[in-house]
Amino acid sequence: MGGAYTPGLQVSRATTVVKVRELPVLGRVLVKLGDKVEAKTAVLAAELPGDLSILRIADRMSADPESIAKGLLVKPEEIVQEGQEICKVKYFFGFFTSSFRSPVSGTVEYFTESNAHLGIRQAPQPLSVGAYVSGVVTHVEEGRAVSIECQGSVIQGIFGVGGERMGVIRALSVRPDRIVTATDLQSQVSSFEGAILIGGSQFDREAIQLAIERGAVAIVTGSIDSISLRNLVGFEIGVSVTGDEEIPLTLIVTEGFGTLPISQSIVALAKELDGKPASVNGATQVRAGAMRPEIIVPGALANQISPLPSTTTSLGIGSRVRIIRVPYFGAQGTVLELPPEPIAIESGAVVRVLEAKLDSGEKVIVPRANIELML
Amino acid sequence: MSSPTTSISPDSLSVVLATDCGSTTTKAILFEKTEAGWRATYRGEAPTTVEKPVADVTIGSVNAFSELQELSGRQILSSLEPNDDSSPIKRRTADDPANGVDLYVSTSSAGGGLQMIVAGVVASMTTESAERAALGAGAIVMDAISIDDGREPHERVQKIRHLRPDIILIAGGVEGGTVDHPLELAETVLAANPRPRFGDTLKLPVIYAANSLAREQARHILDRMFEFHAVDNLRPSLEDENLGPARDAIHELFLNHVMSHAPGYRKLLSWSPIPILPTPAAFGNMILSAAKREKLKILAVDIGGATTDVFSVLFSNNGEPIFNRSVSANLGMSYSVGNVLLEAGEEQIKRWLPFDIANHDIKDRLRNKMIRPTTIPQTLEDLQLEQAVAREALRLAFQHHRRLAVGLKGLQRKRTIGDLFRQEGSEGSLLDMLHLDLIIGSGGVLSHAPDRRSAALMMTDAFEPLGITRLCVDSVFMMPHLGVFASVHPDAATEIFLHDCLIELGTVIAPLGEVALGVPALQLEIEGRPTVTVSQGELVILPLELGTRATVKVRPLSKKLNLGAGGGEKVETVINGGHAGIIVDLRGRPLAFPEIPRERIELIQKWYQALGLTIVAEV
Repeated sequence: MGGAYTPGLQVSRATTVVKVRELPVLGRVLVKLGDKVEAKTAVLAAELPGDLSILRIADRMSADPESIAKGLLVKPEEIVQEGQEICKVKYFFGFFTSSFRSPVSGTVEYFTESNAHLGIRQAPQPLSVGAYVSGVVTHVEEGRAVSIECQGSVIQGIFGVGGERMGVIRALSVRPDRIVTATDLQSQVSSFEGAILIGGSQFDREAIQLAIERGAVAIVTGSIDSISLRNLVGFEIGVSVTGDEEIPLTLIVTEGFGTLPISQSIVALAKELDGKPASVNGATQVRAGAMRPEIIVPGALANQISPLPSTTTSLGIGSRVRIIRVPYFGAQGTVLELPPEPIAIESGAVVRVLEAKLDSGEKVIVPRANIELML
Repeated sequence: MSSPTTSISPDSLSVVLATDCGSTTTKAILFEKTEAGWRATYRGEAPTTVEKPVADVTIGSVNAFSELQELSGRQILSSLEPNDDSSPIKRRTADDPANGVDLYVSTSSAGGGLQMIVAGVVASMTTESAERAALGAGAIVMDAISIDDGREPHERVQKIRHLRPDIILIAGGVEGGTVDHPLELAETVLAANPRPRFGDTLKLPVIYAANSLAREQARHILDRMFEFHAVDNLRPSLEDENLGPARDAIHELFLNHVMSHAPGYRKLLSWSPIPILPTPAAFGNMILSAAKREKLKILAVDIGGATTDVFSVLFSNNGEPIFNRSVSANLGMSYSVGNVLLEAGEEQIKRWLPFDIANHDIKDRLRNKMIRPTTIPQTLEDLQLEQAVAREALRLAFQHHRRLAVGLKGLQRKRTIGDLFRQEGSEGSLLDMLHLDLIIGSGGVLSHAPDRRSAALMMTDAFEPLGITRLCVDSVFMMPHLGVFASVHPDAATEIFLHDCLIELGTVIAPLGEVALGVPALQLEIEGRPTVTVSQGELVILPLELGTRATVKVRPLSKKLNLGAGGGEKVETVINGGHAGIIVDLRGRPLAFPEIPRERIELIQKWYQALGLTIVAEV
């Protein structure tokens, strides 16, 4: 395939951002076309079906299902209140009665005569979806979704954990290939509350702990090692479908696993954006949909808008690329040649390759599948 | 397996276009009737388009057709401007036989394939039967719940609440048996209320294949919230397993509910008179069809980026085929490689490497592959690391398969073709490795191994074959295409399968049992060659070229060694050559590894050298 390379992760100073906000079930749209919204504005609402309580009345009353069916005082679709008498059974030739009261409020959904199970659906649970980014409502799909558009800066990471959060960019003055320590943070960050900390090749354990304790909402760094990741999320991650972890902050890595320097372009952009409000999301889904973690800074550098990223970015001589697999993992360079014919590489595979001049001056041959275009 | 809904005469076919719409790539293959017989002539591919911004599977399909058109010179796409309803595929006519095709068929696993939840009363009985019905229909079983699984009802509800399946299958209660338990399962499903993956306004389909006495009450419970479909009980008695109706209902719902709501599939469905099959169902169809025709006991594995499917076809004493399929949904070479690391552990992966590497380096490299799944190994050591992971993924998937391929606990079962499973007295696996004829490997790491001998070693290490076993790989991932084609023209599909699909790696000779290390164990006489003696502990390759066959007499030198004819009994047979030749494997079963790392590495290096594979000096 001619396009067998990974389109690079986006690092844009100024671009048009469109975020589609969707409901998991049919619901209501709370805004209208053209409305200006803040990141925390609720734009969609719905009601998720409440829990179903299955009442095993025959077991509870030590009676046979037939007696329960005869003594049932409610029927499907009827609303019942907690404590309401819902079944009355006569026994001992009708001299005595025993009753059963509903332990929950809700609507009767079904009754099964053979086992006398009664299903009561509790009240629906409200669900609200926020705008996530500050911008303008540009599309409304009634009952389902809205699109929020803004001009702003965008940084995509390669992998993240933790969900959507809003905060303020705090660019660290740490060399891209250095590990960020707690001392670095203490000396450089005046206000941790709501901070999105960006920099370094990774954060050590104490630095992550300090960021959590002081109320930072996100860490954006070059990489993370397996032990630190397990410590943060509490389990080993086996499949990269993330975003639902219940962790105190969102972590986004821009390069990968190990100790890899954060990209210079991200460091430079983070410095420009320092102090600006931003939205972050660590959700990553490598399969089906290819969702990558992101940092969006609405409006910050909006006077320099570039067009929407093309879905057919092309690789050419002179393209800036980053190598994403050993033996040159993390190296950046410029494409010198794109031989059309596949050639044999060290592994013995015959594949399409490119020749690149790395920033170190070294010329290397790499499979086209192992590079990312730097956008 | 599925039969075509439209009757098509095989004799009317000369050119057939087949696609497999995979989760990453749509692969198109042209099957043509040539003077030499039916052949796979050309192959084209394009990225699958089921995700935004191009959420229409037909776009990727047409792109794949275009590539095929360019390569073959045959006009496949109609020159007419298509409208929304018309097929863009040019029909072949008597006036212009050099262009167009007679038939288009397709399989699909795009968007994660068919995903199901199954439920039953007893885990080892009805739940297992439900699982077999789902797997046989080509589904991935996301979760299986049972009344006897030791969990509280609310725990079961919690377990499936957040899943997004395509279909739920409820089994349980033999006919005339328990009514309460199937109803409890229906209640569990209702309480959990999982939402369908596609179409958030649609009701999730539930197939009720449990005790018919509880059917109407189950319908009453589920009808409001779910699309309720009742079929015959899949386990009408302890002695009977009747998977056909449930499996057919799964296929019908897959087509009419799941597929038709996936982006662009409604249009794709209209292009073919043959139902689109889930990719694994078609793959299994081909394996079963070939096994029946060639009377071969086959084990086949498809190791993908996300999942690994294992299929086996054996024969009962009365010659009926016994087909099994298992899916290890989180074992794969890219998206799921992190999960192989978790399940196997880095030490288990490391033991296959002919060089030393730090554990953290293994973890980081594999997790980087997980997040950048399209990258490929550039260096030899990186390739060998992937191949080490593949051995573990295959080994774990095979273990899973063996656990599933068991009988119905001492009972005899009625069965329809393709419905799988003979019942045996033993609770052990039905898979008798000693009498397996052929192991087929499919999936990038096996089919595209730069040196095919390394594929032979991977498969030998992972499956540990016994007796005399032929090894092959699928040349270019053609089995799904052939499987769906086989539903129309089984003869042609088998011909292509044997001629173009399978690449011979060689034959493994490995006895069951062991003698002391270093003691002569097997004597081999290959026609026209001097006798060779191989000792316990050795891995020896005897050349036998690709495309050749030879008569081999193998004599165990101890009664402790059995090649399938009994302890110490000689076996004489005709075997196939291949890229690796004859692999005489006396390493013992299971394979054992020295505990001292340096000794282990030296042993693995010996194995690599035996097959002529290159070893990395140092990493």
